[in-house]
Parts: sequence; C-alpha cells; structure tokens
Amino acid sequence: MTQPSTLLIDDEQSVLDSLQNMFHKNAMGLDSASSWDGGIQLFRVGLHELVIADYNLPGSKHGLLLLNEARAFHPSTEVVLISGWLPKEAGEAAQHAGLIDHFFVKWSGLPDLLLQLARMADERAAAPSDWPTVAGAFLRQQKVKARELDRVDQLLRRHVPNT
Amino acid sequence: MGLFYFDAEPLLHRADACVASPDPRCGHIGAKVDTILTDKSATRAMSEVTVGEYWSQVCIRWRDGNRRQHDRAWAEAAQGTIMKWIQSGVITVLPIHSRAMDWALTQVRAATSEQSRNLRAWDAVHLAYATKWARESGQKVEIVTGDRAFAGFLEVFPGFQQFVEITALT
Repeated sequence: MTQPSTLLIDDEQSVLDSLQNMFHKNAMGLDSASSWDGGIQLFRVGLHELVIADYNLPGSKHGLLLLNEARAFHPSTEVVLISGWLPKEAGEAAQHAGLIDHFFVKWSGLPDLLLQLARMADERAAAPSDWPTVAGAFLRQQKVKARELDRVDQLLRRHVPNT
Repeated sequence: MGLFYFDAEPLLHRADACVASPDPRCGHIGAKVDTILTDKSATRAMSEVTVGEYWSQVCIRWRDGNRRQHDRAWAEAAQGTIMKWIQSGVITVLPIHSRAMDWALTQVRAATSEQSRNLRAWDAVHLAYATKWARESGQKVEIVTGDRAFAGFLEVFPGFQQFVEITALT
C-alpha cells in the first residue's frame, strides 16, 4: 500500500467518514486526523503533498495557523483551508496573503473538488522531487511575515462563532 | 515478523570482523548482525544509500595504507558478500524513494531549529526510507545503525515512534 499523499484534518466525523469512503471508492489513500495535534503529528512524519484543514478546529488554534505551521515545516506542501462558516472573501484574503493555496466553502460539490486536488497530489508524490519548485516554495515561505499571518488570522476569527 | 532496515555501519563492522585479527568490538557487532541476518522470521532491507555508503567505505579501508588487513582480498570478500545477500534476497534493496532527500532536508532543519540536535542528511535519508517502508507495510521497522546520535533522534521527535525504532549496535 502506497503511503497517502493527502492529509485531511477536520473534527467533524461525518466529513472524515464521507471523504474516507470517497477516496476508498476511488482506490486512493487518505490520512486523516480530527485534531490539530493529531494532524501535525501525522504531517511531520508523512510530509504530505496536500493538507486540507477545516478552519474551525477545537481549541484556540484554527485551521489557518495549522496550515501555516505545516507549510513552515515543509513549504512545498499544498495547503487548502475549508470552512462551513467563513465567507468566500475572508478565505480569499488568506489566499491573497500567500498563506494558503486554496480556500473552499463547504458545499455539496466540495468532495469531488478535493478528490481532484488529491489525484494531482498523488501524481506529484509519485514523481521525483521538482527541485526548482521546492526551492521556490522555501523562498516564498521565508517571506511570510508573522504580522501578516496575525492580521489575516484575526480577520478570519471575526467570522466564526465562539472564537 | 520483524522488519529491519540497515544503514551501512553495522554491515561494515561485520566485514571488519572478517580480517585475521579483528577488533573485538567489530566481532561483537558482527555477531549481532548475523543474528538478524539468520533470523527466519525477519525481513531485512536497505536502501541504495546503504549500498553506496558500504561500497565507498570498503574502498576507503582498502586504500588506507594503515589498515594492512583491509587488502584487496578483504575488499573483494566484503563487496562480494553484500552482493550475495542482495542476489539471494537475504537483504532487499528498497525501491528508490524519489522524495527522500526533500523529506530529509525538512527533518534535518527541524532537528536543529526545534531541538538544537544534529541529524545528518544521510541519516535522515535512511529514516525516510525506513519510515516509508513502515507506513506502506503497516508494521514498525527497526533501523539498525552504528550511530548512537541517530538513535537519540526518536527521543526528541516522538511522532516517529509508532513507525520506527532505532537500534544502535556499538
């Protein structure tokens, strides 16, 4: 069994189950975790090509910070933020700030979209490292400023209840 | 059934034990390696990095004028032995892990930035191979090394402990 190249972090069991089933039906592997700590621990060993995280994870750290931590650890990982709460504009602010690669609102078509991204991640994982891309991602991550991350994080938190 | 991943050093010490007057330490390590090699319940593997490191170190010893016992005959036997193991399947050479170095760079940097610990790049590559093997087989892999510092890595990166353990044969 090939190690999965996609990691999903979401505390909603129904989301984890439905995506696991979908990936399984398509003969694709998927690592998953329902918490920040569990997700980061899996990521640090697997260094997945693609990490998908729900914004509203339990605890004070939200998905944006988790994805930033993943990207700081391994800059060439593609990071996707998903949310049932954040409006499109808020998520896109994070994308424009270069903190995430994609933002998607949770909607009925989302699983198919994630499957598509995961297929591309599997293809990349099967190929040798693209060193110019690895180098570019590292340099891009060096430019991410803590202040900008904090600003966008605060912006997103305003939209989510109980933050 | 145990899964064992070798880096080069224990295999080299086993080869060192085959000279006429070996260092007792090499004899001791060689015996432990032989125990793993002859264990019928074990599955043994190494990477191309292991083969390369072993090959190179055998040649270094052969060229070393201070190591009179490590002559051509010794080198031929040492290199021949590893090739026999590969040919007969005693030790499998794992498929190329095309992402191993990218993975390794991340762990090398993390060891320094988070723990001020040294993790050498080639040790990290060995860890990449062993971890991948563990994740794909669904079983824990025992990394057999000669490097005590490498063995200490899991203490500060416990996330790996569900996939690998490191045994330093010294």
